[in-house]
Amino acid sequence: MLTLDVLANTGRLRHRHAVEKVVPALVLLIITIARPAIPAAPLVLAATTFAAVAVGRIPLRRWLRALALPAGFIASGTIGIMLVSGDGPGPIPLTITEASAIEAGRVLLRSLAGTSAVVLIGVTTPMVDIIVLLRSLRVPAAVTDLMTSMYRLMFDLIATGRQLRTSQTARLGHVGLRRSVRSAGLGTTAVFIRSMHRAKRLQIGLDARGYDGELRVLSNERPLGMARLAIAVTVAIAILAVSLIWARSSVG
Amino acid sequence: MTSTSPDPAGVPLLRAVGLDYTYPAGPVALRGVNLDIATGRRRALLGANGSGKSTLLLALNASILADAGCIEFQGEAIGTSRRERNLHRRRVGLVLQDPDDQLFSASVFEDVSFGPLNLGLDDASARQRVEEVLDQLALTDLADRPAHLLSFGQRKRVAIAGVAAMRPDVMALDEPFAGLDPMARREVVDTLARLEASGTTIVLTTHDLELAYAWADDVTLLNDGEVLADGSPDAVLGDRTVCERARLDPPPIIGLLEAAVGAGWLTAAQASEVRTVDQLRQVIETRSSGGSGSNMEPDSGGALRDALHER
Amino acid sequence: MHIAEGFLPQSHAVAWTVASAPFVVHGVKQLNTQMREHPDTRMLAAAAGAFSFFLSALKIPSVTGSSSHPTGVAIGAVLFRPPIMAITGVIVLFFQAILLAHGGLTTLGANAFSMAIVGPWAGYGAYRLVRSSTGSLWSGAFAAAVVANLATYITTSVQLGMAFPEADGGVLASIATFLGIFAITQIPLAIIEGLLTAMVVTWLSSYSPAEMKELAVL
Ligand SMILES: Nc1ncnc2c1ncn2[C@@H]1O[C@H](COP(=O)(O)OP(=O)(O)O)[C@@H](O)[C@H]1O
Ligand SMILES: [Mg+2]
Repeated sequence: MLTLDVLANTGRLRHRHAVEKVVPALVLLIITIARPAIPAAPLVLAATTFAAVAVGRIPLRRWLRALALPAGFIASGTIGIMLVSGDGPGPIPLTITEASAIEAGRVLLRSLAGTSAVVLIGVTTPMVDIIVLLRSLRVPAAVTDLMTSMYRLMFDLIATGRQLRTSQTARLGHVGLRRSVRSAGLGTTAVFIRSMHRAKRLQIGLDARGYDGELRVLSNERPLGMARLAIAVTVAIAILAVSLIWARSSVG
Repeated sequence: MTSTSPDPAGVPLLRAVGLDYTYPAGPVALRGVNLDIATGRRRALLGANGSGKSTLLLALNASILADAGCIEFQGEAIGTSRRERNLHRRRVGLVLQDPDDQLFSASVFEDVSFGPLNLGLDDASARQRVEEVLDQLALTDLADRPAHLLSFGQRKRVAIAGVAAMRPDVMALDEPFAGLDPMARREVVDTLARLEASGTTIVLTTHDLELAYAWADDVTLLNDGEVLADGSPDAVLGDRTVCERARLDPPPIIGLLEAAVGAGWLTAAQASEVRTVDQLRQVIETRSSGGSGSNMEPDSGGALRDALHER
Repeated sequence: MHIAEGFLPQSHAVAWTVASAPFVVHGVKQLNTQMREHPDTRMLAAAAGAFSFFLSALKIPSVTGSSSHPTGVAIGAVLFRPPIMAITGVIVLFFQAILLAHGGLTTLGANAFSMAIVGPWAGYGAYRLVRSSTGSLWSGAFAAAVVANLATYITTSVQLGMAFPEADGGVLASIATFLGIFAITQIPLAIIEGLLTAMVVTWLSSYSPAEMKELAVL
């Protein structure tokens, strides 16, 4: 239903312990944010692509498509960095300077690299395992329980929303802006009512299984592969080393 | 299963006595319902939409409190305190009609572990219990799947597993066959048979009379919140006027059996053994092998036969 | 108005996370209290959160021809109150980052500040004000969504302006630039989401008064 979720739950690395995937990706993310975009960002981008495609066996095309959507958002966001106030060629008092263009390029690169590290988590680690990890990190139970139930309910609502939209479109409910807004409003209302009813019946289901105010569950146990984790982190540290050496040599 | 019940005389495993129930700001859903469920006997609650089947199951499991009347377990009335109701729910499990109303957790394994942990089992025993049940119901392969990536039939079986893991004495299932294709329906029938084999008594609701006729030992026909008839499938479903009053069509197999007995193909005693169209065909074929009986239309209940191959 | 992953320098990422933390902690406390005192509302709270995610994944029609995502911030704030929205909002942002690659982890704090804190409080304030002065649920809901959207958009512009000051004009000039550019999409979007929210809330109050009473909207 959601592409990243499906990839995470069907991919080759789905049975691996979440720490093996999340920790290296987070180290890459921190390097991306903490170090200058050149050379860190392209190296991180290469490393995440290698991890997803070569190790995780995610088809290259799907990996690129997963990055393309956020890339669009990122590109439109960098417009604000590229444009600075000043007398430009048009009627609007905005212009582009060399410095602002370089800055925009740097942010674009860094943002793409950072996003690829987050998407790497998204395509390799099932949300169930991420929540288990958060639980073991002592995130309060109220929060992880809420995450669990929200995750479960979200897909139900998305499916309902899609069905409603299809049936509305089939009845020409989305022709023209006015009618579109009205149909979207009707659909949203229906989904909301549905979610409230669903919540009440889920509560009956919980009570029938002896719910006493706490959502205690057991998770599937996964062995933590220390060797694999060490290799992945080493690669990340190597990128950090390259970035540090690069900085020193360009100063010197 | 025609064996007599091991319950002590006059004390059924689970009993409803004179239940009345009206939904808050809603219709009257149960009117003076009496019902006995005996250990090891398959009970089907039948009735048209809105006749009160689901409400009765909710009352049997103490999920709702009746306005009048009471639920007895092994002869003892269940109190209204939260503690007593929770205790009762350990012995009478409830599987809701829509598995999406029941599966709250992110993965199959987590969801099934919820009930056993609420029973107070420690992690190791609960884990073992979950693994046993998943194995018993042939769901082990799905253990770490998220619920939204399962088919409807799979979700239905996982919902059953979540309750079965609490090892209740009685399992009440609301419309366990509704919305399933023949293959998935057969898997659910298999699942129920496995639960019975481990000593669970099953009560379910359905509006599929053909299936009820083939599956149940006892049936209860509800209409507008009242019990219209209660007894063996032959006695209840063979009564055309009662079925009509309940706004249900009697299963075709009953008419066929009458016709077969009338035509002298079967004796009444033989007919009472036959539960499905397919069994009827087999009986006729063996009786008149090579004879005139074989021109009967074969197997209009193929799906059902698949579903019932266990019997 | 999500700030994408990698957009903010590390000092800003840390600062916004620290700024959001107390609100989120407060939200968790409220949630804990609610779960303890009304354990039977657990699934209702989950439904609220799931609904917010659903809204953010929904595409609504917009004048530019392309579709945009509503924030859903106002509906959540009106129906479930801002403190609860602080924690469900953070969870929604986290899910969006991991499941939709929308927003990010290092920008989670900044996004939470604009969308889970400023937006809900501003929208809720506008709702209370307009509802009590005009007596109209429709106007209150409309105002909530417009104000929540605009407040979110202004906050995001400020956050970006502070992160990328202009060489000549500094932070203020940069904020003005971001405000100007985002206005093209965000102002029409705020109005459309206002109409949508007003419609949904009034329909809900007539179709589903029981739920609305439970949530203390009616
Ligand atoms: N949650 C509810 N609130 C109000 N009325 C209900 C509710 N659930 C069921 N009813 C009503 O109670 C009656 C019996 O319903 P139900 O037990 O669901 O019947 P069945 O399961 O046989 O279809 C029907 O009239 C139905 O509309
Ligand atoms: Mg029913």
